[in-house]
Amino acid sequence: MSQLPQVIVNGLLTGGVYALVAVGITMIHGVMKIVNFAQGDFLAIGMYLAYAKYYLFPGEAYPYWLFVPVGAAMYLIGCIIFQTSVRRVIGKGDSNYILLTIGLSYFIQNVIQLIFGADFKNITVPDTLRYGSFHFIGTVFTLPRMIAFLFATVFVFFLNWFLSKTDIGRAMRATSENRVIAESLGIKSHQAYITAFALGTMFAGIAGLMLSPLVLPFPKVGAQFSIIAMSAMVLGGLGNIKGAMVGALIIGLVESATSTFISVNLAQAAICFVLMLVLIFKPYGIFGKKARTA
Amino acid sequence: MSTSKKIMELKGVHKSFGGVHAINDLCFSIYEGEILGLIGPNGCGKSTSVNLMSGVYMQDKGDIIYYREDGSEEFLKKQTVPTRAHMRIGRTFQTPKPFTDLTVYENIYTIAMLYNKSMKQAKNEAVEITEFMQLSDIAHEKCTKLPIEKRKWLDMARVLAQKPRILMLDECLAGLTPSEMEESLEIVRRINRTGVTVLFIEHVMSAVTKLCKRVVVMEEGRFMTEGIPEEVMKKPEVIKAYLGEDYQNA
Amino acid sequence: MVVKFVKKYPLLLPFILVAIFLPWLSPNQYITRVLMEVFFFAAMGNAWNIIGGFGRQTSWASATFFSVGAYTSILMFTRYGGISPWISAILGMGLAALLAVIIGLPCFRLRGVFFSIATIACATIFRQFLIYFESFTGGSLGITLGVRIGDSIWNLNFLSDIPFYYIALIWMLISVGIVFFIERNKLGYYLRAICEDQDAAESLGIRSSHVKLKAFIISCMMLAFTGTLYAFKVGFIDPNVVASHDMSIRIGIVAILGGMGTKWGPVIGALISVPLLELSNAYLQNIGGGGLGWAVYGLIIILVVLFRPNGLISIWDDIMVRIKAKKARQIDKGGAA
Repeated sequence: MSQLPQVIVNGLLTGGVYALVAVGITMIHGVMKIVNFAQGDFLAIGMYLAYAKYYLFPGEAYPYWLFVPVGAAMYLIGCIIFQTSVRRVIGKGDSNYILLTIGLSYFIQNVIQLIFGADFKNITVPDTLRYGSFHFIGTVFTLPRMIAFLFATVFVFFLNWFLSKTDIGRAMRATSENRVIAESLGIKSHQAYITAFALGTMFAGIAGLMLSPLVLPFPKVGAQFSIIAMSAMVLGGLGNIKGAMVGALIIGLVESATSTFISVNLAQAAICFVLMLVLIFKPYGIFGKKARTA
Repeated sequence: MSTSKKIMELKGVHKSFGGVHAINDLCFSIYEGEILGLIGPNGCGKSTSVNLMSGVYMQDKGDIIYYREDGSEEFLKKQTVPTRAHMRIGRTFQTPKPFTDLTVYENIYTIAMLYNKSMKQAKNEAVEITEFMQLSDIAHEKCTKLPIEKRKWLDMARVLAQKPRILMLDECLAGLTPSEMEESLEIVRRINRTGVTVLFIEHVMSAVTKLCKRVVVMEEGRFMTEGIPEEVMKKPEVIKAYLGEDYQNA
Repeated sequence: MVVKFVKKYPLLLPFILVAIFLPWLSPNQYITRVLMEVFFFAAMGNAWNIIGGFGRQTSWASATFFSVGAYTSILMFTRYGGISPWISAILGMGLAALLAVIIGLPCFRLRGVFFSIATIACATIFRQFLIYFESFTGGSLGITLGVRIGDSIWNLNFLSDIPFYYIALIWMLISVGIVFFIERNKLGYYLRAICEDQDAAESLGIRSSHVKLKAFIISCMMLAFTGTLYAFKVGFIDPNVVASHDMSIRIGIVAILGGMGTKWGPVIGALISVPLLELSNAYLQNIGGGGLGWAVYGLIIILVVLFRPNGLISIWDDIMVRIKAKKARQIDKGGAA
């Protein structure tokens, strides 16, 4: 029980990074009513981009500065994926986009394997980063987790600002509320869609970058994060960005608590269990007001 | 007026959605065998009443009592929609909802299967209903291309397979031409003659006057008045509620 | 009646004949083995189709039930005194039915994509529990049947693959028969009605959760039975294969690729997807880090969704429609001339 504060801290810090992925999937769902089953694999792409950098340009350095090139690359990838495939399944019923994003997920996982191989990779980060930490009230705040958490927080605040203060952001919110009315007011829904998707992809990729010192990449690493993202989204209430953030924190806590007090091998099961509870008893999420049925 | 046996009764029913108090202390009765008109200005809660009786919504307060054939009372509150359907409470929807991928005949047959013990009985019943509803010539067409009056008739045909004791028709004349309306009215009369109680929600006043011996007028979620159509239409409060809207057509 | 049946499905008879005589026509055991896998997946695709195609509820928990059948029979054989798979299959199906109710009751309350997400969640929970309770299930290492000698239908071990080939073929045909039966009877109609308009269906008295649950139970029992057959054919189970998300996807893809809600779609889907994976794993394994086959799989799924959402069998249907139209035109011309 003395571990409780540590468990909470770890959970919250990791949850903060999960928020990046969760916020991305929520935004995509909010604006175009698509659950992106490949969201975790976008995170994997980000992770592997970080690895690729270290592989091609070896040398110890902090991976976080890569957020500009990785972010840009992910945004571009998101645009390409959207234009070629996702755009055609919007509004065409559930099974279409479920299959498309699952197919994408498969495709991405295996292309990663083709390029990088199936083994676990290691990203050489400086020891000062990997083992750095500072102590506060008897709990350890490890440096990679702290930095990831701070970056994630900054990005989420940026997203909030973007959605409320910029024209495109407001267009996205309007489209998510009611596409038909938004279009009749002159909002180009295509722009809203592609921006939402590309941003969602970018955020997932950056989350991957943030997690690269903490998680060993392997081709299917994305799968667990897809589950985490979906769980956080459902917990927070669909289309509710702030809810998704809180949902992600809760997921982080559940994961941390289960890993410590029960078993690390049941962490995913615990997250899924929480997800099931929410789906059954509070399908609108803890905060959500939008219906869970389309 | 038919027998004085009630089949459905609403007592003090309240229903709110969010902040909107859609149904406010609603009370009225439906008697077995009659065709009761339910009228009122747009938004007064007619469809919501049907939804409450059929189980789509659950009332916040008040009783909805269904009287079975043997006279026993069934207080409707938590019973699910299919359960109430099996109690032989039937309804149609404002916008017809056919099973589009099935043919007209299959639509009826599917429901007949629910209420008949053998497949053969179900088939016979489906054929009978198809003929009764004058749908035989399009019986084997898929519903995707049906014109609106056929869709409405199909909705009615399907409900008939349920062998309902009470049939709630929600604006079944909307979108029809005058001659189609006449045909539909005749069909409703025929259905009523087989013993089915009909709750007829409509905006087209001429139809209501022709079909119903009694109407209930609703306003803002509550009971306003009832009586014979011709008399009710003349009441000042009714005219006021409509503000000259559909009264012109009466 | 049989003649009418054969006329309606003209390719059916030649297909069955070829399938029956193939092991003798082709001495290559490899083809026999691949076809056997095709038949197993076709049967599972048909099972998936009952709830996923006719009911439009895309379940990603198929592997869970497949592994229930596999584990039950192998455990019954290795730990509880060599019980014949034919008997333990019944137990496996019973357990699968029970699990189907446990998973189905909460999941069927959810519509659309949330059903899918819930099935993934349940499958994940099951898989992790399966691996966690090592002492019972063998954990991550799985269970093997060990060395078996001799030919025995009772214990489902044979010296050659050929008897299994026929068992698989028969099971696949039975599965098509089950789908056929469901389609023409109450369950099929009720499922389609719910699919088309659940509100209308319920208002007319169709209890959608009962109907969906029934379909799900049948589907899961079929999956479990296939699991038993598979376990005894392969001789061991690896939970990371048998209970994996990948397996659930493979099963779903068979039906989706071939044509959801059709009888022969899964057969076609299996005929294409299984050899595809086999061949690419066998010959393309050395490209890059491997996994080209699965990548192509993913690509195919994407392409099917974008361009042929009704599945490959719709190509056949289109051809049939065109032939009929051509015949009709010819008759008109003949009549006019």
